[in-house]
Amino acid sequence: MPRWGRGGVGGFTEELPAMLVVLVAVSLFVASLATAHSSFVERERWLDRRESVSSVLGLLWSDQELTEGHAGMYDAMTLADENSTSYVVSILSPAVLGFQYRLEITSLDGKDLNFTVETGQRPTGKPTVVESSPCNILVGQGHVEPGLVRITAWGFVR
Amino acid sequence: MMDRRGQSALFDAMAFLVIMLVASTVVFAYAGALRRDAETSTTAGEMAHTQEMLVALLRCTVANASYTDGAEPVVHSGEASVEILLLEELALVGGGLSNESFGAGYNGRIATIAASLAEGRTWTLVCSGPGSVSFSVGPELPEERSAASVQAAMGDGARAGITLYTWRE
Repeated sequence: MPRWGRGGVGGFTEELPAMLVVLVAVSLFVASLATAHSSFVERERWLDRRESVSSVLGLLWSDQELTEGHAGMYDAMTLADENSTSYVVSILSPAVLGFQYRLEITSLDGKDLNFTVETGQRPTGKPTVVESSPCNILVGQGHVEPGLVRITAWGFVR
Repeated sequence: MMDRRGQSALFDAMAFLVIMLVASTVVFAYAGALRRDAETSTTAGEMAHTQEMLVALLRCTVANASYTDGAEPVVHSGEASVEILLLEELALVGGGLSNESFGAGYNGRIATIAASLAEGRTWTLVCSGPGSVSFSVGPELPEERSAASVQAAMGDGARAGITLYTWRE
């Protein structure tokens, strides 16, 4: 009695096309699960980073030195002071925050008021997180202008 | 030629493939939604922005805002904050002045400031005072929007509410 013929051992060659189809189906499903997992991890990391950058905006919003006690209202005279840049870097140290950043406080009233702090060279093609928040700029004699604080962050270490 | 058993196995495998294809499509769609969700703003972020925008808007100052009382133009001399201008408008509307009296020189200037703070969002400002007096600046409100409110005291001590709604088109 032959132990195998055209069907191979136990009819293996008859089952081969079916097995290949099953392999394709399982591979496709595993690939979709891997994609979903990577998207989930990426989303969590992205939200964490956005939260970290938003907390920087919150710190600036209530900083006594820059706002003269009025949360969210930056004093133009203080921003024009050359020590303000080093002050911002001292309270928002990239080593403590875990990322590099470019901070801009600009007047939206068409005035040429632009306070910028940049802690490093932004590499091209790297992911960045950009968060912004409305604010006010106090421009002498009680004149209050609309402004915008924008922070662009990159080089996250975690 | 494949025998009956082989054909049956292949049929089962194809049925399994179809089920896996459907399941994979669902999982891929979920992964795509997660990616898009991460890129768009969160509801909490939108609410925080609306709150900050309202605070910033009400503190901004406007110089020489003007409205018309009948045919007479009235100029609000000097600088006044947006909050004071809105409360004054509410009092005047309550006193019988029409909304149309507060055109480009008044609501138009408030709208310019609000638009600069909105960062691409659409917005509407609603002010309401005693005796169902209210007016709004901006388009009609959609169902999905963020809101922030403050209460302020008018000149006669009555309470007024100022609410800012923002949304993305």
